[in-house]
Amino acid sequence: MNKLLQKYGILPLFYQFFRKMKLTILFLTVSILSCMSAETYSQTTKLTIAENNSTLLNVLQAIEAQSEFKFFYNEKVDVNRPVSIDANKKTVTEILDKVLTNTSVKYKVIGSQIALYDKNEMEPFVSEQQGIKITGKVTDSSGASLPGVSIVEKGTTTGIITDMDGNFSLTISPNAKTLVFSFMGMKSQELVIGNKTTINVVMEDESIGLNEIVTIGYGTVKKSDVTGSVASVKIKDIGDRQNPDIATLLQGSVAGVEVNAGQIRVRGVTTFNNSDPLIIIDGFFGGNLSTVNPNDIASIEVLKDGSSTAIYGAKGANGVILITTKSGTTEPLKVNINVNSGFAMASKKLDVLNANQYIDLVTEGMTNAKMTIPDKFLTPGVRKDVTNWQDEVFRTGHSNSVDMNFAGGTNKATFYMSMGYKHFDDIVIGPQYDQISMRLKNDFKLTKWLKFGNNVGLSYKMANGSMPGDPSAMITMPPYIHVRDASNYWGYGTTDRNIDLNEAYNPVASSVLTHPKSNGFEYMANIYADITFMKGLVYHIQTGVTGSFNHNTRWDDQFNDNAGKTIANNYSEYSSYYLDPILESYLAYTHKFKKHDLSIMAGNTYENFVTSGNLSISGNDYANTLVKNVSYAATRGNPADESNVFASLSYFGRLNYQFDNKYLLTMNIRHDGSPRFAQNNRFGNFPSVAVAWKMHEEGFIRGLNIFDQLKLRASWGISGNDGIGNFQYVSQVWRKSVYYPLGTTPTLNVGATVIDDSSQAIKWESTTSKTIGLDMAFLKNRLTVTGEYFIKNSNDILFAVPRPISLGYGQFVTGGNPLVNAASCTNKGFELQVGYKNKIGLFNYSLDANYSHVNNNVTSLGLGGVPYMVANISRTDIGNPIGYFYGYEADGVFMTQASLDAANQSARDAALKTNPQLTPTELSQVYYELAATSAGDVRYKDINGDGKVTDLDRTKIGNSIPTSYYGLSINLDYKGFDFNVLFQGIAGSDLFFNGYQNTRGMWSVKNQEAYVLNRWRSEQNPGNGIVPRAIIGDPAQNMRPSTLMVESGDYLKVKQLSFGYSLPIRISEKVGLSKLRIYASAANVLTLTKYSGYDPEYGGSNLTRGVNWLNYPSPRTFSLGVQIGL
Amino acid sequence: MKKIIFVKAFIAIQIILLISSCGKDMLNITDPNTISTDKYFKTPVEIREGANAIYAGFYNNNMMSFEWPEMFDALANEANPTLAALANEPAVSALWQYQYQNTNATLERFWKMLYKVILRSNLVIDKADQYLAKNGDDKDNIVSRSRGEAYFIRGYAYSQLAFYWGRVPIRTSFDQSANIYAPRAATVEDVWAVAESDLKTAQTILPESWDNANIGRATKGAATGFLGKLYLYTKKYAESDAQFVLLDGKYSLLPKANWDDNFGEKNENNMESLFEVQFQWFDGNNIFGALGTQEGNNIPATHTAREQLYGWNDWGNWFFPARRANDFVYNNESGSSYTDPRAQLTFYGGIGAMTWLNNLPDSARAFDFAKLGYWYKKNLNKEYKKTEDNLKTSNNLRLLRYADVLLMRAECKLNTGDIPGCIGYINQVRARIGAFTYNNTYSQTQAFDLLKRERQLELMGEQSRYNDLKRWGILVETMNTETVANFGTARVVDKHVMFPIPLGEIDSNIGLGTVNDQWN
Repeated sequence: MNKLLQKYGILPLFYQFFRKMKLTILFLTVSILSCMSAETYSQTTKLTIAENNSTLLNVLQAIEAQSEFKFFYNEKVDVNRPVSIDANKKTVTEILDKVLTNTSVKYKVIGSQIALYDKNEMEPFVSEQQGIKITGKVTDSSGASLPGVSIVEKGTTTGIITDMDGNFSLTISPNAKTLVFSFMGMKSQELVIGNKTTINVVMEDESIGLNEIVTIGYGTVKKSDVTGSVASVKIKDIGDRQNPDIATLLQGSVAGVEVNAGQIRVRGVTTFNNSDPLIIIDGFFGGNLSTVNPNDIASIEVLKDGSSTAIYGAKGANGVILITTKSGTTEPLKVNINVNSGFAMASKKLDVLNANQYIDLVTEGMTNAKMTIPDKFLTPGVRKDVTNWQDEVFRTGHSNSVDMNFAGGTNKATFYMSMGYKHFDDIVIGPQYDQISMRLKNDFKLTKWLKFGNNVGLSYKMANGSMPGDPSAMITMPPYIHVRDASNYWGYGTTDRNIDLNEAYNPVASSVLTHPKSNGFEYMANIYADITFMKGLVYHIQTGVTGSFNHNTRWDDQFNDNAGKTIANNYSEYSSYYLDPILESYLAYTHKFKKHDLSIMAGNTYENFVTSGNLSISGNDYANTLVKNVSYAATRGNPADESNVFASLSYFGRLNYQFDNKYLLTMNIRHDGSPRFAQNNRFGNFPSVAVAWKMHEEGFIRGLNIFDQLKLRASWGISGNDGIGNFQYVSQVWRKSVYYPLGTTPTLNVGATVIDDSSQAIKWESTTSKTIGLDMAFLKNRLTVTGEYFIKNSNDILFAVPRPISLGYGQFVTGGNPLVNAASCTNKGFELQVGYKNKIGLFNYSLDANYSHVNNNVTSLGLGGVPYMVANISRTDIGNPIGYFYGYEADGVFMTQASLDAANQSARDAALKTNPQLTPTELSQVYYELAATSAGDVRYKDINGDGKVTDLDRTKIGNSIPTSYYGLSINLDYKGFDFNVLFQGIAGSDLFFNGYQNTRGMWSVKNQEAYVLNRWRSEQNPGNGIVPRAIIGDPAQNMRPSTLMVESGDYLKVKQLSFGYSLPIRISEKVGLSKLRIYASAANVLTLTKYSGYDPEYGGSNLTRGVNWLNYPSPRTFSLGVQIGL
Repeated sequence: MKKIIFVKAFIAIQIILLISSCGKDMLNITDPNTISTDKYFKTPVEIREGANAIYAGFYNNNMMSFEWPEMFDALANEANPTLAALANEPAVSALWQYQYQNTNATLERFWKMLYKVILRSNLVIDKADQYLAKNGDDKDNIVSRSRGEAYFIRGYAYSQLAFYWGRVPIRTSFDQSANIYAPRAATVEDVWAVAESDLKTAQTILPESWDNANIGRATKGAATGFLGKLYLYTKKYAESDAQFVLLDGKYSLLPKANWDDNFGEKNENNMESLFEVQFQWFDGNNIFGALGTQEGNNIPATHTAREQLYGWNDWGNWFFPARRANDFVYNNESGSSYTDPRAQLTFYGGIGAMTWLNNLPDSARAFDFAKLGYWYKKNLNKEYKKTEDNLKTSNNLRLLRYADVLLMRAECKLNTGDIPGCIGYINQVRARIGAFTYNNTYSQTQAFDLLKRERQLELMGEQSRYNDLKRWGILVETMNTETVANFGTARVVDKHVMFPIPLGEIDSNIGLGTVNDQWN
């Protein structure tokens, strides 16, 4: 280890850094690492050698036989010299010291290699000048010379790059064995030097990496042999984007995967319930994404079709995302460091009314409602612009991060260790976050038949500060109120609801007066073993835990609300834990004979003793604000306690068969059990079949000389979903704070009842998916095209079918309906992924484009097919996509009283036609809309043609699920410069702006967006004909859900942009670095959209997707960073 | 080599043992947080908890502790919204404006509250029946009395449904699996019949009174009072009076000095009171629980928001309409103008009380009528405390008091032609408060006018006027006079005599049957 430290002189600095971090756990890791380091091997390996009257050669061979040591020597060393030794459990140095006493032979241990030399000679390896000179030329497959190829002696930093003619000349150490040739866009090559002094290399394109290994469930396959729909993202292929999280990393990169505001959807929405894909980290089921530092990821695979997800059975219906973290290598220690610092800001601000316009608006609204204008509004003070609330709420956020990883190892043991630290403060006042993450992976090859290892991921997150409670307050607060006001004991300005009539609360105060703190520790640890029982038969077993501990506190200062009421200070504490142990194992057998290639795998998973729980306590009215402890509270709330248990049980198997490397067959099955269902319905079977035909292996295709790859695939599979809460099939007693006070001295009497209906009969949701796909490669693999068409039918969707309110269930007006396997939906669509890579001289470029189109359609809702409405806006019914928007069609405003009268008259005519018996009085009470409707109010369309506007005139007014999503990534590099840009967008979706009632509705005394400047004021000043009049109380219901609130949610974003420069290796190695790159990157650079709110990127749960209040925009970030390789 | 084979075999056996030790049994887990319904409600204590939860059902979703009183005060123009109410309580404001639709949230919550207590009552009735069939009654009659309480509240709920909505779905057992999409009853009489039968059952089971710890539970008297009211509302005057007779000697009017005890925090469940929804502030209650939903919060919420919403120096959402003050001025029998003494007891301002805080040690304060206008005195605690201090209010909501019973008896007499009997009951109520009594002879029409006035003045702000006008068939004409004054247009039409069946019910109950014009 010491020698290593000397060689990599900068390392001690990092140990100091670690000490500063006071992360003793890192020391622990370092000491584990040192156990595996090569130098220590010579000290820890004990040998027993008994050679009497033998030769030095025999002794050396005996040592080699017992260990990994290899000896090197030249003719100056007399190996036939007779020696005798009887060593029992001695180290190699002790043995060598003994057998070499009184000779001129010295030795040097480097790793597991030991060189013997005559002391009269110069020490080997000390001087590079003693090395061998190797020359050669590098060309591409067409024979053109390749400049800029890096050539490195394996395991060292010795290297060079080829000149303009592709030639190189490199002096290497005498014991160098291998040279590594690498060039962007080409497959790296490792060439054994042997005795050669001239080495000419032909580099091959890497465009589609058909030999790349792709991770699938419980195993891996060569990319060329994949039969299902598996998208693989290799981190090295997507450039050096600075990704805050894994969802962002996938955004716009993979066909069939839609990422919207952090929400991942694979091939549409298959259920009304949880549609998040299953996440598997390093083969570890149910890992927590937040424990994974994006910098630790080597590759991400997305399993999209039923044939590839069926192996995950009941949890696979929403797609599966497999994350593979980086592993150690069989090379000496390599260190990568990435330091990044940046800032962020709101990508958009909204135009709001100034003080003058605000007072005009609200007095107009009050006058229209026949209300008296309060005195304050007649004073000049309220027409003064004092505060721009958006400027007070938004700020420039900062981020800083340091990541480093260490990787290395020997043939017997490899390690990977990483540590990351990130600080981030939000673009909105209040919150700031710190996160430390760490990963440690070790793999040991103990014997030829036993391999084992461990993988530990830890993350610690701290968050402080609170955003303003209500984002819309930064629009609705009067502009004349001061942010700070010393006359209030809590220090902040406020409205008075009786004087200002404005109910908004100072958003700065609502952030500053609340002090939440959270600490969260997440862990994931597992160990595995691979046991080879015989050739081709391997048993893999792994066990581990994921879990977390969280502790949150929150202190709220005392303040007065805008009714002048004192809101006492409050302090609460919450802690929770989660523990999820799992045991998984499988037996895999592979066998090749003649043209047949067969592999079988079978295994099982136990997830048992899964527990979680939480405790919370709170109190308020603390006399002493210095002691924030619940026991000091004047009044205390009841403590709350919750605990949960879970278990699951699965068996799975797979058969892969290949004939003649042309015809491929994959069959999967999984048998899953979940306690979420009653005993009779607990188990489900999830089978799949996929076939593929590698047509390019057929002579008649090969003869065409067009295709480098042409593979036709077809698959069918069923996967399931149990993404519902536990114990939904059991009717539960409801006793939570059900109290009634009784008695002459009233005391609380506990109540118990039932508020949720339940159905015993529920079972798994199942999704049958069919896919047909074609993989093509042309132009020497420079152009690749993958096209797929799929149909997914989801049945038995667990859905709380709305039942009559009159059943009485539910805590609120609606709810309490039992989940039943009622609904079905389909997702049909196609995906296209196109990649192109080429170069012009030293200029390399690559393009990756993907486009996906999915149509969602509900095919049944069960039990009568009653359309399902949520929040009076989102509707789900048969023949439409899930959760579309349902409401009225606005048709401008009634510009004049005459137009309103005409509408009312035609309504009366229509009414009389249907019912000639109507009396004049009755007739006078018929209106086109409402009695309260007046000129300036919204005119709605009479869809059903009955002459008036009623509930029956509601119709489909928007589509919440995008039908298309796409991405385009462009990578360029030229001499050390690299450039990457990612475009990403969605189409075919709408957003419903529910915040309309707060910031555009003009129905109460609130400041509004500049949108309302175009309002109807009078017949002479009718505005733009779209925005209605202002009237407090909204008697004409201008705010009913209508097309006024629906806008297209389509957007095209320049999501990521980065530009970097890497120092040529011959320069960077002079300062001991294998890599030095500086870069600048930006995110959310540009958004093209018609949406008028902050940000069209908005998810939401399936049934109410796209229904947005005023949500904060995604930050626009800029950062600078340095990457250092040692 | 043999050694390795042995090791491998050993590992293989260990693995097989490990895997076979886990089985399907591990999936048999139960929820550690709650109990399944079929394992509960087996003991008298658990069945009584079920009964407690029925009463608690009155609280939820903004109802009895919040919007329920406002709803009827607004519909009868007995309280008017301030800007704060217009802005924050659009649904209740729409009732005051007679602009409500079948989507009105308050009406939907009222509908839901009634069916919620019906569900909870059905649970208790079914579980109590099971217990009684198996064990007979327990020694303290907890089970049978809980069953009686359940019948009482179910009867109350169905009479409300019958009166406001008419033909509604009927659900009379906990297991509704065969009746999920219950149709509207064929006639409104079917609904009244359920209510009648339930109240009669309750009447036979419930005790006359409860021990100190259980004061506040429904009594035989409560069941009798509501049964009498049911008969009155269904115009069965003889049956109605026959019920009210049973209350003679069991209840009496409080003296005038104790008038406040009918509405305030002290001396609740007194001799004038037949049934009250119990509210109590306890330190540590979830303050804002009174506004939303009380259950499920970890922290109890058993107080009421009403006083906070009606107090001028509290949230001040609802004020006393000036028009109502005029109702207290009328001619006495000699034709001269008379101001009813209840003006001083009912509201602050003008001919009402002009000082407040009279019962607090730091003495009375003048009421600033010029600045504040009229506000309620009845139901507020302004004689005892300055403000409601953030919803920390315990006033019970009196659903039926004996003065009302006497006036209902007057109505029975009036409709059975006994005019002196009618005047006699009116005079009992008047005498208590010190108003002059009627001594002249009156025709039936005149007596009806006196009864109308008496009910209005005695019960103002007690959610009675809307029911009275509706029952007497004069809602449209009476309220239109007031909407013309308030809004310039006559807004009340015939359909307003019934509440609209909530759209949420229409949309979710495919078996409901015809709802005319999306209303009723």
